Amino acid sequence: MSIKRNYKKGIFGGYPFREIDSNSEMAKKIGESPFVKEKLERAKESLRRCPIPEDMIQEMRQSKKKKRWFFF
Amino acid sequence: MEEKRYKYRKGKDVFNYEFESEGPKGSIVKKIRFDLMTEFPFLVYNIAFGDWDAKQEKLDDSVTTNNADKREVLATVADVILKFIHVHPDAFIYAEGSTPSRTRLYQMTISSFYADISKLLTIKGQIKKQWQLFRKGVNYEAFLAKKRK
Repeated sequence: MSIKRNYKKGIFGGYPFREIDSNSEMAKKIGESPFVKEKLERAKESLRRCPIPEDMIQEMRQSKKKKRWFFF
Repeated sequence: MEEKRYKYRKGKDVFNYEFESEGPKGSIVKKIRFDLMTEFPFLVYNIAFGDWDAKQEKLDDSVTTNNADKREVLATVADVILKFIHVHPDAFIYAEGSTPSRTRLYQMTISSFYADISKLLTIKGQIKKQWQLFRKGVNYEAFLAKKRK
């Protein structure tokens, strides 16, 4: 059986995005679903128990500082 | 990334993406969404990925589709993550499966394309409440990624 798949080529572009859910109604609906809410709450709790490591935070702070210098 | 992957579509707000997995079981809509977990001190988004149940209008990340296209699906998810982090360079992405098998799927996604994505992202894995630099072959409980500077 041959299966025709809708492959795309290239990275970051080279193809137009077709927008879905233009009023974000479905996105809101999914966001309010128990599955997504539960998953999000579980993730928040996990992150509270085990916060973002300091080295990643420092790296992010440094890059934000660099950006500020670039703009001023 | 030269892997075959599916064309995907994005929602209006760039936090929602979808594509169709095509295989022996037909066309199955997959959705990927990024939900804001916290804004302070930095933006952290939780990624959710699963099959879209159109009848119940429900995202289900517990099903195993077996549509003979795992590699293409994983490549598409990796591509969406890279796209998202490209648009949100100052954000962290957090991933944790709702079941151990789903967490393993995230791990497979990272492992399969690590050579490519590690050039663009710093990825850490959580194990026993400790974050460590991601290594292939280690079973993590959650993942954290940010764009490399």
